[in-house]
Amino acid sequence: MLIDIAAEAFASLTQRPLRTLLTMLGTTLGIAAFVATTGIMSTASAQIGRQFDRLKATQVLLQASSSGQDPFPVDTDARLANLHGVRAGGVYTALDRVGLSPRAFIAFSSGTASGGSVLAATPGAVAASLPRLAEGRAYDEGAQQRGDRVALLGRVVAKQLGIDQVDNFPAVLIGDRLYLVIGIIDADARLPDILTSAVIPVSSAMRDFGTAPDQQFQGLVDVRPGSAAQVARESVFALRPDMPDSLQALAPPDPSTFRNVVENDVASLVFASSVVVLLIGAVVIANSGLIAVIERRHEIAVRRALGAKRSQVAGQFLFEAGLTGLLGGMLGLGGALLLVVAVSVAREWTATISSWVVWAAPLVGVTLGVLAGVPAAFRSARGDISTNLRG
Amino acid sequence: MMLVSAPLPDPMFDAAQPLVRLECVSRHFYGAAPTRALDGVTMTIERGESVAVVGRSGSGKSSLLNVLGLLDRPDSGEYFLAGKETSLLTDGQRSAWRAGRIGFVFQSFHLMPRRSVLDNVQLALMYARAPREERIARATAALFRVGLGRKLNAMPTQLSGGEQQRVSIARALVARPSILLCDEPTGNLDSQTSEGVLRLLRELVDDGVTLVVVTHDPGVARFMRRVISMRDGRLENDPELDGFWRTNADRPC
Repeated sequence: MLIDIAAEAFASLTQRPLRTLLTMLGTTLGIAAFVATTGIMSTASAQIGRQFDRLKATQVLLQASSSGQDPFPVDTDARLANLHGVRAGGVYTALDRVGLSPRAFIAFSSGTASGGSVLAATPGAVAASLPRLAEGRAYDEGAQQRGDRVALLGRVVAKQLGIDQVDNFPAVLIGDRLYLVIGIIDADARLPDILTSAVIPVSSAMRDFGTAPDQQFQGLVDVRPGSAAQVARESVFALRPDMPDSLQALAPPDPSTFRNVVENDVASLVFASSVVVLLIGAVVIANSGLIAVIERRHEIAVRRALGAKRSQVAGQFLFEAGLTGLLGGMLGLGGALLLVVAVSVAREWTATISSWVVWAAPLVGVTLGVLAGVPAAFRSARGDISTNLRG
Repeated sequence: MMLVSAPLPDPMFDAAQPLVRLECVSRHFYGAAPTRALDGVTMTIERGESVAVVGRSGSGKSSLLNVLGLLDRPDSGEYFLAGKETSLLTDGQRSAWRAGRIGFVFQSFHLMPRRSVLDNVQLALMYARAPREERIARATAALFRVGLGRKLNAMPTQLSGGEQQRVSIARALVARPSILLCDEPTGNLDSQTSEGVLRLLRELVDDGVTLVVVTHDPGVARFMRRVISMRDGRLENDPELDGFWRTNADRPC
């Protein structure tokens, strides 16, 4: 019997396709708005996450609490490396006084670079800055301890000096000291300034050039995902157990929390507006259902005369409304998915849609439709048969 | 042909009782102009009878049909259908009786315009809870019975008025009801078409169907074996019509 009533409802809907379509429109738009916005939002945020999160979430910065002091111990690299969750860490500082007016000393070419700077960095700091080396290698802890005169050149500086390989032992003059170029940095994720700099070990720099009274040292730590806050807490004690207050550790504000806050604001706004559209859709279904009951009073009366119970007539109207909601929801879902995919393709993103949205859309459509069909169902069951057969 | 239209025996129904018995049935409508649509009607209709109910508009004949068809409840009095008192029936029971025991034919046919002829007829069996294959088979047979075997898949709008009324008769007949109630079945038809429809109705009576036709057309009444005339909600004999007079209308309620 239920199947028969469903079939009758389906027949009623398909016989008036235009009206059914228009009735569905409210639900369709509401669902489409909801799915499309959540879909585009999750797609976009997944994209943002891919690009920025890993870098920010795995970085801890250290600096002196008060300027003019150098609280970093000599073995900063080793102390940081001992902390759980740390992949590499160290100290770096810009040697502003020295300036980079290096001259290249190589067999077949020479030149002078301008506009560059010299950066003193421990091997750990270099590693933590995530450099990509085009040529050669970075210096290691041994070079730092011995104070070797070795340098890494940023891609820009290297090009200015005409140095494109390190096999022939090119050397540069920094200040009045000759440094051997052992590597060329092609790109650097955390310290992009490196590309216009020469990087030398901190020990060599301090021996050769000394430090200014207000020399600013900074710590840079590369940590495993999820360890930033913990490393930030522990590093100040690891470096200066005697006076942890002399150091400040800056873990970036947890980016996911931050993003969630923003997203929740946007999401609740979008959610609210789709709910409004959905409610309008429900009102449309409810209203057209009531009109249909008046318009189809003959049909209802005939069905009743043929033996339909009140519940069967009401059930048919509920079915019709539910089916309208379901179809509206599916149509909205389909349209929204297409939209999300289209936007993703246009932006070369990966379309990301939560599976619950896909399930929820038709479910919400049905629920809303059935609820909206209740008034019509009630009224359809109420009408006086004999009056409606005449009128 | 008997198989198609003859009423099905129903064990629930008491065969010893008349099919229809009304005892002092009244139906009043209140409102701006209160009317006594039925005013103490007492009558019986036996199985296999063909009854014409005649009277001017407003005489109460349609109200009588509504009460007989369980579409309306009387305010007072008792209505026994095959020996069963109907006033205590629930809406569901009344619906079930309409589905299985009572067939309706309306003046304006009341077919569903967007459904095929076959769909229109088998719909009546849906509410009688027949399975789909049986519905199709019986609806097809009923349509053959009324002479529309070639138009099963036609839409009602493609049919003439007479054909539409035949569809509606097939629909009324398909559940093989005990009683067929017709409200001005020829009211929208020209005289020649009416003749055909009436002849069909009389054939059904010959098959054993009990027929009650409400009409203001004396021509229709002549096709029925018994004529009841009504005025102001009461039964009365109409001297113009030559018919039997078997109600005890004079008995006070």
